Amino acid sequence: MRTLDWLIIAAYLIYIVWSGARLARDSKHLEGYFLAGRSLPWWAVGLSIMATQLSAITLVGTTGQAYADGMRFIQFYYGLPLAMIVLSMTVVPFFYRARVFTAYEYLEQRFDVRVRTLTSLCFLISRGLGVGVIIAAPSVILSIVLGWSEVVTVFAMGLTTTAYTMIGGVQAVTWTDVKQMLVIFLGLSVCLIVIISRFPADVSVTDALALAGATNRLTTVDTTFDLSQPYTLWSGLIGGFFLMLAYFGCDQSQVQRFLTAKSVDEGRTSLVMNAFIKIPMQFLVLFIGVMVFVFYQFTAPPLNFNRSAVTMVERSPYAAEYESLSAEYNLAHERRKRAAEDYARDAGRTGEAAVDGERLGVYLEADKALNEVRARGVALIETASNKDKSFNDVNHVFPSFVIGYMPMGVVGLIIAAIFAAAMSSISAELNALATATTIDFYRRHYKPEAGDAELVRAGRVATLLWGIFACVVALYATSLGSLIEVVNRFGSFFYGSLLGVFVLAFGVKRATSRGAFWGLLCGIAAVWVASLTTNIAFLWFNVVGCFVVVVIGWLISLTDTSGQKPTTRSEFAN
Amino acid sequence: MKSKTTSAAPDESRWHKVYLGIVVYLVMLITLLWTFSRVFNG
Repeated sequence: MRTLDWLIIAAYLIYIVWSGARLARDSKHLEGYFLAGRSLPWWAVGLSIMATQLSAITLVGTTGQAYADGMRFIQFYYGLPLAMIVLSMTVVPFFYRARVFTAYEYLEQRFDVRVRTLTSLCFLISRGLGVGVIIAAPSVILSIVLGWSEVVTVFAMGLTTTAYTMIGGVQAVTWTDVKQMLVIFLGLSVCLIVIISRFPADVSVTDALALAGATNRLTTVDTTFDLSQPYTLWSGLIGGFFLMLAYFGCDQSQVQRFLTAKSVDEGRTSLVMNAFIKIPMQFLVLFIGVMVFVFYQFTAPPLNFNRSAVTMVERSPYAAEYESLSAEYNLAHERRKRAAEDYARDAGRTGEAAVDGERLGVYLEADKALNEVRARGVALIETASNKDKSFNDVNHVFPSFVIGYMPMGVVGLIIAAIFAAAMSSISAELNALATATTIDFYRRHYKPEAGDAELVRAGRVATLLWGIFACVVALYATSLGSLIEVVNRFGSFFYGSLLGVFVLAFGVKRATSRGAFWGLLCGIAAVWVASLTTNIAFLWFNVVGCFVVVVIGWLISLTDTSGQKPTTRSEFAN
Repeated sequence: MKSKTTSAAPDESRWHKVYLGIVVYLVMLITLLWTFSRVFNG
């Protein structure tokens, strides 16, 4: 990191806070502060939706995952375009015409206040903790890579984002999201060009692809039907479809994005934009990870990318053993480098299948030997840290590569892009948490007669309090690696079940409020039991939760004698 | 702030063509990515 890099990061942070805060003048009224007066164009809403979904940990984690395991993660997004179709046909017009501020407000119109309050509470609990994790995960990595303390990185992200979100409301969130997406696209594109330019002169992109393919890192479609496998064509198309329906259709942080659109058509177009762009964009992110893998075929990678893990083991009684493993790893890398050069330069061009096959065999053998030494290094770190899983290095691959090998200026741009990915997600989450708190609780239960000015003030205070809460959770989460996993798992309990309530609301005419309420509680319990008693991959939890809520909710509604009449055909259509 | 919402009813048949386009796009994209894997993955 040199002066120019620091200047770029500082300029980015100052510009984003300034450009967000200056939108305060358009946010004096309730609809202006929470929904931008329903006046935003589809492309701004579409970019904001993408920016909200792309958190820093997605950016950094998936490049690391592609380095270690290849591109199979892309299958996670195959259900997204189908989910966008269903949401465009149902949720967007339903919510828009109901003139609601939150998705849960609609549930009071359809069922009753109990269902609205319970669903909004589920959102506040899971997202309130989740936003802390969104801050914590990249803060840990950036603190190690940049050499800052975790407190500094947590507050650099958390408080700057809270400041402009609090002042400028949803206008600030959306327009800064647009700028942040541009920074991310620019950072990723420059990064890819620089990586490829750093390959040895006689290694082309085709050669690089041949090397990556030889180790199965270019798998993008896996047709195996195995419920325990997280990323297959079927888990992506079915489980991913349900997850995306739940996330984009029932999570206030996304619903609020398309509620700010000028019209139903503009809201729908913003989702269609995502249907077309999301998979190619994720392909770009994963492809960068694979190209980093190819880069390290010709340049020696560290035995472990997590610098704090290496420092820890070097200060432990295992230091000598680790040093000896590092030397062994360097020798294994030299062997793999020679094999990679032999294979890549003539891959498929010798005209002799036997020669190609032999070179491929030598390369794969050398790669296997290298991975064995690396696995021993990981095992040694685990032993030295008493099995602490927070020393996993997958999330450190990309930032450590950027700091080590990118030229001056580009380092600053990519670190700014990582900040942008984090801040765009945090701002949307804080804004959504503040909206649900103000509209679903403060106005609904405490001050129904409150005017615009008071509600906007309440929204600003709620944003500030959620921002501080998120930073505190983040600081706590950084010291407990496993807490991040717990919070993510906790959040996954709610998604499918919330979706089930909305399916009952939109698709089951006979559904009553009692059915929806108890169906939701049963759905959450069913996912919890499934997570404890089965080994199905997490994407399938969304299918289980949704299914249980719909079936239980429908059965309870059939036997409901509470006096609530089923929705009439005309009410349902409206 | 005064709402700038337009109240015109969306043209559903046009949207159905867009949705069909998304399905075709998804099938083509998965086929393309599958071919990409087959060509380069050994």
